[in-house]
Amino acid sequence: MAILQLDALQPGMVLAADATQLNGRVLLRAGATLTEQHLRVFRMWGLSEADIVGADPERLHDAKLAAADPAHLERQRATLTDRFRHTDNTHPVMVELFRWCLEQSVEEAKR
Amino acid sequence: MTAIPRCLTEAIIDVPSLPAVYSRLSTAVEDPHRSVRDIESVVHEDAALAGRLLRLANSAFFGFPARVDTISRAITLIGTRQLRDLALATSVMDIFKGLSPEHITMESFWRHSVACGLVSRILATWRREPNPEQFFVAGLLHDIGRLIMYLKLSDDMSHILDTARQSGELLFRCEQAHLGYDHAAVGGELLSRWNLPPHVFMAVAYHHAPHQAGLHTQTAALVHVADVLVNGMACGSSGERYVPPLSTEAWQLLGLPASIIEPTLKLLKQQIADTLGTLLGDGQ
Repeated sequence: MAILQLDALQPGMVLAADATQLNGRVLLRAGATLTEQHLRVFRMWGLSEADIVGADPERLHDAKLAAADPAHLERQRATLTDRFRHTDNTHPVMVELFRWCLEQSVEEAKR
Repeated sequence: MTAIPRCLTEAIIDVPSLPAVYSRLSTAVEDPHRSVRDIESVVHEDAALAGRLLRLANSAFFGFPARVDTISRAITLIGTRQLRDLALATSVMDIFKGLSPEHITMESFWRHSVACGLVSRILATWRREPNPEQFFVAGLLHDIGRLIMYLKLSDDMSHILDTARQSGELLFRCEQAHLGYDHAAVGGELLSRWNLPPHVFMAVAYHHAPHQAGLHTQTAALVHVADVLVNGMACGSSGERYVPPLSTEAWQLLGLPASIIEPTLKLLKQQIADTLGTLLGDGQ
């Protein structure tokens, strides 16, 4: 099981834990198989993530970066590491931020 | 707030005050006997403001499905307080229009500011805050003190920017080392002189030390986190090259999961160009 972002959710995935809003309201119980309709409800009710059976967010991230030119990726990583020199980059927020910035620079290079 | 020297307070007094229409609008909004129509007529006293607000109501900032044609319709959809806060945002940007500090471009400064405002607003929405626009204003104005310092303390700021570049230190720490105060204190001072609500000027004054903001710690924490995110993305810049350290306490105070970072940044990407264009008055 692993937490996936709303955008990574797809019909057919199985919830490993209840899908709850920030206030604790349960939208869907663990064990349910997601449908297109569920995803629409999640989006409307502002759910940002769900715990999915057998998912691996690291693999998704790696897959996005695998498409990039390795030399470019290394340069971007170095630029970001310098920009993030004053922050604790093990904090979950900083991990997310760093990862997103890296993915963005890869996507921009593709265009 | 860190005490700032008299010479700078005088420099702040030189900054023009907010347009009169804003204080009339503010009075009208707080008066329970005034109707939507009254508020609409106050907004219409300033045609440029009315036009700007309508363009904002029709931009990606709100993303309403149908066209908003009148101020009264915008008030119904957005809310009176919210409209007042947006009027404040565009009035402040107007005051600094046409200025060109030698250290940064205004485009880059406002891009950073608007991005921070948008992220503050998005985070406030995740927290289901009743008036997200007030967080937009706080985020938008968080670095306004630095703009004043570029304009009034040009030589000092050149020196501070050089020091930061050579030492790899954070810009606000260099400001503190060289001057004894930083841009956050200057911004807070200006905004309190403008009689903005305390949670706005306190959030601005303490966006680098949110836990010191007393009653307004939560707003300050929100702007603090937004500033970290926007600096990470290097979306515009107010001169800072590095990401300021994230206060763990500030993040915890918001009570949000780390998984909202990605959707937040995606929303920012969708909204930034349109909002920046509207607020800077492009396409008139």
